[in-house]
Amino acid sequence: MTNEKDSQLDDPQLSAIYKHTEQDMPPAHLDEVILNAAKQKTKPRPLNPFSYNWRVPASLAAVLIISFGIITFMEIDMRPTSSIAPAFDESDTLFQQPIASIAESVQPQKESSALRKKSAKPASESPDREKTIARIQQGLTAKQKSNERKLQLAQTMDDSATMTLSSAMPRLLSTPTEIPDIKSIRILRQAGNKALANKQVDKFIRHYFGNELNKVNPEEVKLSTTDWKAIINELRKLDRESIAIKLEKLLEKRLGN
Amino acid sequence: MNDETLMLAYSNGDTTAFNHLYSRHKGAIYRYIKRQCGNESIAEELFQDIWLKIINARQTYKASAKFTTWLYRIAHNRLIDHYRKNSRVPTSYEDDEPDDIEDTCPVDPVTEINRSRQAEKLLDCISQLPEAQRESFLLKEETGLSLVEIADVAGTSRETIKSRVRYALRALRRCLQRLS
Repeated sequence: MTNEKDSQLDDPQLSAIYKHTEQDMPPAHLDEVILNAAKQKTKPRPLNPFSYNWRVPASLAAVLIISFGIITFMEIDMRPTSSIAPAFDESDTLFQQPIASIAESVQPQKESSALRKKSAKPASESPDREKTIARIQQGLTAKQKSNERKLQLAQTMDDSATMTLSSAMPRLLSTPTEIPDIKSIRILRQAGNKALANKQVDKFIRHYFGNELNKVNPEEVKLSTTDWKAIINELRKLDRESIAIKLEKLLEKRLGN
Repeated sequence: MNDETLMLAYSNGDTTAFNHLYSRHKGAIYRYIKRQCGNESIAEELFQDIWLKIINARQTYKASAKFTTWLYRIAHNRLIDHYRKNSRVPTSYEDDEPDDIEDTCPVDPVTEINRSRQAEKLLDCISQLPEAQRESFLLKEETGLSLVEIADVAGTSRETIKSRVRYALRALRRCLQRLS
């Protein structure tokens, strides 16, 4: 019914004339604009690097960590050698141990070379034995390297100790032939380096008393009473009681006169 | 492939579907806009706006709605916005019952020879129609939409559209008669 009524509104003649009207079309530039817009809108958008909030702080943290690492590494690398060596410390057992004793502990080098010679036997040995020998050799080589490192470290530390003490006893260490003084001996002893202290004490006594204490005339000794008493005291501290008693008797003799 | 399927394909990213849709409807909608507003440059601007609205609204398009109705509703709304912007909403859109015009001027039968001349006269007559009647006539001739669908596009009742079309036809017949 509705369509029937609608058809009453049709005018075929007018429609025919209208179809002959100019068939206007949009200009080409509008077609281009619209079709490009349609294309652009369907393109997947490039990922925004800042769309993920975690990326920025993560990158910053990585940069900071790397920078800190590089700076720390550079600081260590640029530090002077003397500062790398451990500072003088009385509690340091390595310092307390004389170089000689450390050198003794490195002795197995000789043993290892001897063993190496032994192991260089003809190939008549059984394969198992050869493997065992090779393993021992490897072990000894490793031990030898370890000992070398130990010795180097000890020398470095001893140098460091020397540098620390040098300010207290410049004369003693810069010119070994010079006469040591009581103060330097005391510092060496207190530092635990008894061997070196003993050497310096012997040098001190030889200088003032000569090689034979029995033949010493106490009045001719050019040493003050204070220093005399001080060296006796140092001798006792270094467990050299017999020499301390001899010097004490000489001093009593001198003071008695 | 019908318009609705093409539009859904485009909303899923198929630009070729949009090209087909555009080619199918660009002429009719351009003519509707141009003849409705009577200014070529404004028509181009409105035409572009309408298609950009279609592009931007692709995700909200529902296949339940007829594409042509949807497209021309957008076009109609854009035209009304244009009228409002110029503070000139034609009164004919509010006049649901225009004065009855006596249909005393039937169009003379036209021959193929003078049809082009008649077409030019018709365009002139169309431009003299009130906007609401002109829109109804153009939508009917350009889109082939039913009165209900035209009413849907124009946002009014079927009866109103029926009146507008009837008055438009009478006015055009009289105009052509007069110019002849």
